[in-house]
Amino acid sequence: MSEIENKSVPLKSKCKHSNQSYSTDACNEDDHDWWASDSGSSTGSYYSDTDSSAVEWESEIGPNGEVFYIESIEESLFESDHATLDDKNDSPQPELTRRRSTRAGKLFRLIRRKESKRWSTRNKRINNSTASTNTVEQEKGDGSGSKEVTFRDFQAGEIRKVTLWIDPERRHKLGRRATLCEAYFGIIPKAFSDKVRVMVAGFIPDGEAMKNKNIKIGDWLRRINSNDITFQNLDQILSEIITPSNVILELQRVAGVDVAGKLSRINEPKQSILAQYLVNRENNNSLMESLLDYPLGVIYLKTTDLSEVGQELQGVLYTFPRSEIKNVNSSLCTARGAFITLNHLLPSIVNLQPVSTTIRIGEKETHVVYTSRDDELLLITLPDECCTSQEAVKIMEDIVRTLEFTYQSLTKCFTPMENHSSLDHFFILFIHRLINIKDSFKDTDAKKNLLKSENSTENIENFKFRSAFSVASFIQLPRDAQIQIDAALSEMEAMDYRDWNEDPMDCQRLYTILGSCIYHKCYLLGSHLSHEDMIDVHSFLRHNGLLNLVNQEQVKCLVLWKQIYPSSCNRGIIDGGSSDQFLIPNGKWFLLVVGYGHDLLAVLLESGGCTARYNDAIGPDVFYVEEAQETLKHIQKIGVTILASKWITSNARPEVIPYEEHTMTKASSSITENLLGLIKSSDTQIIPPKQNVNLTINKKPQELPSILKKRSPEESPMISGSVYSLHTSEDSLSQGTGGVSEMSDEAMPILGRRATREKINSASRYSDDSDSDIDIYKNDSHVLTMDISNIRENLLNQVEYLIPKKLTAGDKNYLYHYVHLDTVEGILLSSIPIQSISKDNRILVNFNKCVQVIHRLLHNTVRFKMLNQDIEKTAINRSLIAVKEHGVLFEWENATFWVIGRLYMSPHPKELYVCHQDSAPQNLIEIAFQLHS
Amino acid sequence: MSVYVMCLTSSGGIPLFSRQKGDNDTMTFSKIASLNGVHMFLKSQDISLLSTDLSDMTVIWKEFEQCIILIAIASGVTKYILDKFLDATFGAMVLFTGIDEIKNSKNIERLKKDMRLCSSIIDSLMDCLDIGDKISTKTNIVNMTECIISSENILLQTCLEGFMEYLDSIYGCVLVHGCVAAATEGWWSLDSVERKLLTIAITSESICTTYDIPVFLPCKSPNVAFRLVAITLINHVQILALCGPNPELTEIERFAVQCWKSNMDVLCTVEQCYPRNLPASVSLDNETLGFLLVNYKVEKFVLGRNLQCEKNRVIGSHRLDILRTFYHQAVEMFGLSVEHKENSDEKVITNAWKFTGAKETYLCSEYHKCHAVKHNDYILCVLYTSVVPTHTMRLISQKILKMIFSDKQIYW
Repeated sequence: MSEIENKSVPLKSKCKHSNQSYSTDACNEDDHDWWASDSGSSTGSYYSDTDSSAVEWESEIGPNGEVFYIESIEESLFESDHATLDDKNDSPQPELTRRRSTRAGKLFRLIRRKESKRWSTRNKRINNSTASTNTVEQEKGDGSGSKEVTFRDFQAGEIRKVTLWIDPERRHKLGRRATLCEAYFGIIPKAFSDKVRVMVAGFIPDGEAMKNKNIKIGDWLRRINSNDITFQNLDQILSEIITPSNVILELQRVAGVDVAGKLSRINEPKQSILAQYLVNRENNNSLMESLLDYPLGVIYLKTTDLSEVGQELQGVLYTFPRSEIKNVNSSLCTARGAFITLNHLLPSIVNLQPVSTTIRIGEKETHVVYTSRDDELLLITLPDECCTSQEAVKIMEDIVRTLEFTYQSLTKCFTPMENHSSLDHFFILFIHRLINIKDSFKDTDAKKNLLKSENSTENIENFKFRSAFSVASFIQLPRDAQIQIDAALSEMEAMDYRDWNEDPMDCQRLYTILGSCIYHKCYLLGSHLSHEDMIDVHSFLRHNGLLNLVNQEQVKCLVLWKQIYPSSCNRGIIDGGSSDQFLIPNGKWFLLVVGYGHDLLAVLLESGGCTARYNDAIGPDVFYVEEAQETLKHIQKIGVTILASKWITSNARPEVIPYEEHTMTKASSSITENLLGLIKSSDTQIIPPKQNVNLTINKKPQELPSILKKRSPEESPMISGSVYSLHTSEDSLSQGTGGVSEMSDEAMPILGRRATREKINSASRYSDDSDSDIDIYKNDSHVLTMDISNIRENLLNQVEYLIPKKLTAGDKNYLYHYVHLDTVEGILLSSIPIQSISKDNRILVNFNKCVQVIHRLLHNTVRFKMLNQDIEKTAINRSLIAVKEHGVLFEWENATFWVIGRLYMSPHPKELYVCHQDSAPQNLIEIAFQLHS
Repeated sequence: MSVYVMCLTSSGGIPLFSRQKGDNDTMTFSKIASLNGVHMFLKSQDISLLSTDLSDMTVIWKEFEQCIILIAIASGVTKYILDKFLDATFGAMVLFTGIDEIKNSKNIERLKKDMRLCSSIIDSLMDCLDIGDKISTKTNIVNMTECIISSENILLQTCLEGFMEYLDSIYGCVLVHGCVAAATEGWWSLDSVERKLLTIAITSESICTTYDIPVFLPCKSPNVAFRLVAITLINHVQILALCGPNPELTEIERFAVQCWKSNMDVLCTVEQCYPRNLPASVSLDNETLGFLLVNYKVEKFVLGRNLQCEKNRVIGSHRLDILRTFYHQAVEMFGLSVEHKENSDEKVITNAWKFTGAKETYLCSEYHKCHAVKHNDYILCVLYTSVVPTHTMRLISQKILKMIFSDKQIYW
């Protein structure tokens, strides 16, 4: 039945978009590139033929419906160059489809899936066995290059009897797709060529069979408890075992090759070391034990109802790190009484809650940070060598935010025992990102790789910086790229499918999409989430290492599905009393993250209100996952990804300078000269713009014919440049290229690359003048009718001729680095530093540290402004209540630079930090205005 | 807005004294005992409790000589300064009692009585803290010696040296309004805590004109007492000296009069310098409200206000508080006051981060602006009105620095 329907799907789409019929194939090819999994798995399983990626991640659905699936691309497995994907995309993709073309098909699949789901649960057993067989087969095909395995079909061979202990309770441990044989023994069964005899095709990691040396892949499973086994009666015989007992397996060796090593993970997706590190929770205990010597830890305590005669760990609901075997706990755990006392005592003395305590264990200072919730107390200890107490406090806030986002409240997070293993994993990831642990990993390869990829000081500093402020690095792409992103996200979020389907849809939607955001590497490209949700989602992605993963390497496929509690919905807690806030439906919220290559798309879904009732633990609906994947692919296809990566590496928006360059200019940095420079530069500034305006006006009509092939600048959707387009940059550009040559060129037609550059030039100039919202909307509607390849081409053209934008005034660039910090929106705009030498990094680290100090001073002002009454009560130092700017000058090894922070109070507190060369004419005011406006 | 300091014996947890300042509730014994108990418990776990941060306050514990625990709670003060404050408090305890007595005291009641002697000094030390209130009349810094610069400093210096020769001592200084106008080299070799304590000991009680008290020097000689002699020459001008048992006080007095008689007018002009604390040859611009010049190596400072401004505007004394706050929060924070060592560069990244190479810093608030610039061992902080453009501050500060250090008459 499904076969026929599947066939009809492409047909249908062809009919509807007949003009695009050619593109379906291209699309499939493209799918192939991305997912590379349509091959080899086209038998049996009911939807693997159309969309096998779904099958892959479906095997990872946990018992509570959550999914965390990562598949790395082959290259990153062997650490080859990361440029492959970019190259692939660079090559022209002549036939690009709108993603609509696949939509209709999706809908059918949705309906079909609704039927098949019921069917599948009924016939789960059969279905599962076939599905797993598929994976085996497929893996065999894929892995053929590495080691040839032949399963020789001899009847004769050594017969062994193996006793295994099985426990039917663990039936569902591996998820619902696992067969009985997999669940009980950890053996993946497969039929021999005669379709009767059962072969050991692979092992489930940590299964019973794997621990037993006598079972080999390729063995013929003859008898279980002296019942003869065929592939047909296997499940039936196993299902008869209902009590935990020893089972005798009789195996006969048929294959001569021992292939235990390579194929042991046979049914797992290919994952790079980093990805495995994120997903694997097996080594947790050993890793935790290695952390016991460090002065760090996490502990969650109940602070009431403690009796004096209680046992050792009374009131401790969770502790990390710990060792189950040796019964050793962190020093924090044994000394916890002191912190409980302080937490009780200090409010009674000075009416303030303690924030952090500094202690010294041995020679090392550490910081204990408090978060109390009613009668319970969370303590996190971090050593001073990795962060200061202020950083520790802020990082704690970020962690608590993530935990509450994931588990609703700290109580619900730490109290249930079943959460503990995932919490262990969470904190191990966190600690490893923060501290350079030089301890024995189990396999040294993994360790080396980790060290290399993520443990450079700069990275740690960056992680700390981002965590401490709970902000996402945002890059501001050209406006038409942003429009494209917004359009794609909106289209997905709207879920308006009427246009794509002629038949009436009678099924109620399962989820409402609250918002979504998209990342390239670790940079946020666009967000449709409310600010608080944005901060939540970002913290979640950062702490679970997903941003680091996509930043370091490409993923072939990444799917994450998790129930979460967004703060915009009051963490899912419904209090009937408050009527002033808008109604929050009594529903559930889910986070869906999909990723390809270096890109991530996070979608926040709501179940409740107008959606169909959500029934527990079925995992994500394939339709929504595919929808998100389609959206992400669409955004990649129109070239946004390439644009973003070029944007990041281009160092043009705004342009910063490396620290080496100006040992020369340093000599002239005396103050008086600066003052002169100020006057001079402001003089010279006034004149050039006028000339320029004239130039452009003269030039425009002549340019037009030369670029008729494409579009006239007025019509072009790429009007933007960037929101922060500046006069100065264009001035300098025209100065740089030389006014004379431009003049002489004017007479003749401008062709080729030059033409494109000129066009962009004039386009961005145009945008400076009038760029009203109406214009944008006009352009927007224009965009929709455009061909996708055109969009792509335009976007990419733009990046080819990026005009470096200067923020400082004058004819030279003096800017090292800047950061625009908006903690309310959770957004960080910054230049991407040129990381060439260690000195740069040190200056960057220095900058980050300065920002912390300045931020604390500026924050006093914010706090004071927030206090409406109680001004008398607060203990804020009166001299610091109205600080709005703070700057420091550093002089290092021939480089003199300022770090300056400024606070803007309206509309909401924002901070701007710049790091610029001292010899710059003192025009920070200008910088600030330009960025702020 | 408040500060507490508590002292207990670390073996028995018996409270020796407790002082407080500001608008706050009195500290009860049970609270003191609990604070101490936490420290004791952690000590039994081989963990030393250092400090706890609250949103605007800091609690700090410190154990001295394995026998005394000092606990301080203060608002608005950096940890660095609070730590210095505890050092000074312990120094004050040693000053009159001697370390032996504190360490080996059999009779706790007597020790408590001894501690009462130093309570006025501890109160003065608490006044030095920048707790963010505007009450204190004089702005002082807990870890540095306050000085006054006048054009007659060289003359005073010669005179003082002659006087000290007679006393056969190397430790002596001239105080004008509690600020050091001239001092012997030996005086500067004393620890900054000792200098501070000796000055406070003399100035905290202003009724007497002549002092002769035995003092222990907390760092230099905690076991053997010196004689601290102070003689008032004219109103607000005193001469301080540490000396041995001879000569008699009356003899010293007589010689002092003899020695300084010829320089009475000099003393008067120096006295007139206060509270500007700068010689008239250095003129301050109208936009500058006050300045703070610090020598961080010797740990001394001059804090002065621009009297010209004061005539035009109504300015409270807290204006100079701003400079002190600025110094603690911005200058010390960025390590302007720390020597930059080239060879320790490697360690910078691995160990806790320290700022190196900071040269200047400024801060703009809605009501005023501050600018600090480093010059060799000196740091000049200037308080400006808010109308001064930010880049002009640099020029004016440099100008003041130049004036102070190019003037040969100014000896500091």
